[in-house]
Amino acid sequence: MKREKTYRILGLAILGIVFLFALIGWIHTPYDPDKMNGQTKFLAPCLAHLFGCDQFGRDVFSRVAVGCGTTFLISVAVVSIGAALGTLLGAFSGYIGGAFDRILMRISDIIASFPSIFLALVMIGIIGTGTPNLIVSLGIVFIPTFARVVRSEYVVQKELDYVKHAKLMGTGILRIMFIHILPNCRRSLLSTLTIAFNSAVLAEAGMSFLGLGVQPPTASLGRMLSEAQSNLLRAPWVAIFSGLFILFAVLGFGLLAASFSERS
Amino acid sequence: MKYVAKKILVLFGTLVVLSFLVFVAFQAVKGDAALSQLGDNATKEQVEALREELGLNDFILVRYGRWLSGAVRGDFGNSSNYSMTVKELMRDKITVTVQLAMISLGLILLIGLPIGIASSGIRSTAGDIAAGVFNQIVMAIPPFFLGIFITWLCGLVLAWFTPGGYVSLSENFKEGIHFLFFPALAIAIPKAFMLIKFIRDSMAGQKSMGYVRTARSKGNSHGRVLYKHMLKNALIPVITFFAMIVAEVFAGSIVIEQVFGVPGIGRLLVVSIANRDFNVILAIVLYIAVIVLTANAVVDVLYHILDPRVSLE
Repeated sequence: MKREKTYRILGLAILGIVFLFALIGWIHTPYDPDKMNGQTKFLAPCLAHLFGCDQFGRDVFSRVAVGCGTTFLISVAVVSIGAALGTLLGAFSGYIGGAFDRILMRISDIIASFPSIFLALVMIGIIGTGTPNLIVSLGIVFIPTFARVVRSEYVVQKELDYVKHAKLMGTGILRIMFIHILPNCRRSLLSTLTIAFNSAVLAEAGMSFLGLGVQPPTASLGRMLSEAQSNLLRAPWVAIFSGLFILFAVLGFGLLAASFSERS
Repeated sequence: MKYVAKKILVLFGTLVVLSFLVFVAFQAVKGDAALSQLGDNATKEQVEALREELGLNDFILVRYGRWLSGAVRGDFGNSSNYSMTVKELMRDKITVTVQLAMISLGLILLIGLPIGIASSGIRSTAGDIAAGVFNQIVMAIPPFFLGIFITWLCGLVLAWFTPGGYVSLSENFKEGIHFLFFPALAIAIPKAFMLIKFIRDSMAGQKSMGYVRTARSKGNSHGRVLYKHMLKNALIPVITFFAMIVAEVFAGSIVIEQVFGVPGIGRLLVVSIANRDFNVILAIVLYIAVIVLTANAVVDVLYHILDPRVSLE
């Protein structure tokens, strides 16, 4: 109980900070995040530039804020695709069962044995680089995660009395599946959502770091980190702040996921 | 024995299905190889002739069969980005990645096992929360961020190694190990902490078992029960966990090779994806799939040998 609460409060607080930065990035940044300035090149953190400036004199604070926004939007899109399609597949697989179920679960077992960063790379290899492709690739990668969780819920739920009663009353199969059963899966869905967000943020940052995700000039945390690498001694703050915010986002969702797993 | 044979059969089946799916997907997005080879000025007849010559007009299953029969002999065609065969391109790089992975796995065991076992005896609520939060932080560190941090601290500030100064192991063994140690450390640290958490959880799960109570009631000391009786049973599930770690280490090296400038298979994969060099991507995907699926199959068999209660299905 105590542990669950500590994790949840810490997780929400950390995510609050990241979300605040994302809001700043969407609404108003103190400086133009893409504007280069020869005079502020490699400027150390100071009052005017809280996080310092990068090798082109761009304000790191503004870029981190925009990067948080980008990361946030991409993760939401990715998890939405994965959750929607995964839930749909898992629901049919669990409720109908039979050969369809066996084949689907066999496939998702195999997929689950590969690390998500590798699957994302394969998908990007097929579809191509760039932000829209990144969203589709990562979204597909997360489908099995949701499908497995939802399927196992449906296998249990469909044997319960309320479902049998609904069937006797002649309720349609789709109505039973999505109006009656789905709301009862909310707890495991919620905990899967936090895990998915945790991996989605990490995967987005990783792909952008490798140069296969968000393309310049759009500011992205992973991209900033890889650009900062060549100037580690002259301007370590670029790497520190962009890396720290990736860490925050991943940690926030990780703590939330841990609080859910403590509860069960 | 029958069980092992079945496992091997399933393994090969999975590999064939997997490679077929990726092959078809690549064929679909690749565009016309004949057209790109001849350029826009080629006449329709020329393109058609080359298509026939390259075998592009054949049914997809025929083309896959041709690729597969080459692949089992180690022939994966030519790289479109480098003027080399995929086999030549990959040979040295596989060695480098395997060496990096081996050192990483060694480090994971060296760090994770002793700390995990030693700390599993100590349990308190406050300590557990602190350890749990710390563990979450370590697991949340993106591998590339950790890599950059190690480059900065050990490479630039402390000057323990030259960033980007890769030395091949076969050229100079001592220097090579010296350099590979740092990227391996970047891969190993988060996984070692996962291992520690797993051992602690596994030991905690043993605590409520009947045999533990029996051993205690016979007058065995706390430490003896912990390390003599419980440890053996608690370490069995760790073996399954290790299959996952093997997969994660190879995935981790894709990113870490990029950070440290290690000329391995991961770096080749990233370059090939950026350049849409499909023959190389396909070969690397298959290579990693072989490693991951083999690790899983071996662990399943080992698990069965160590704990015969586990059913075969």
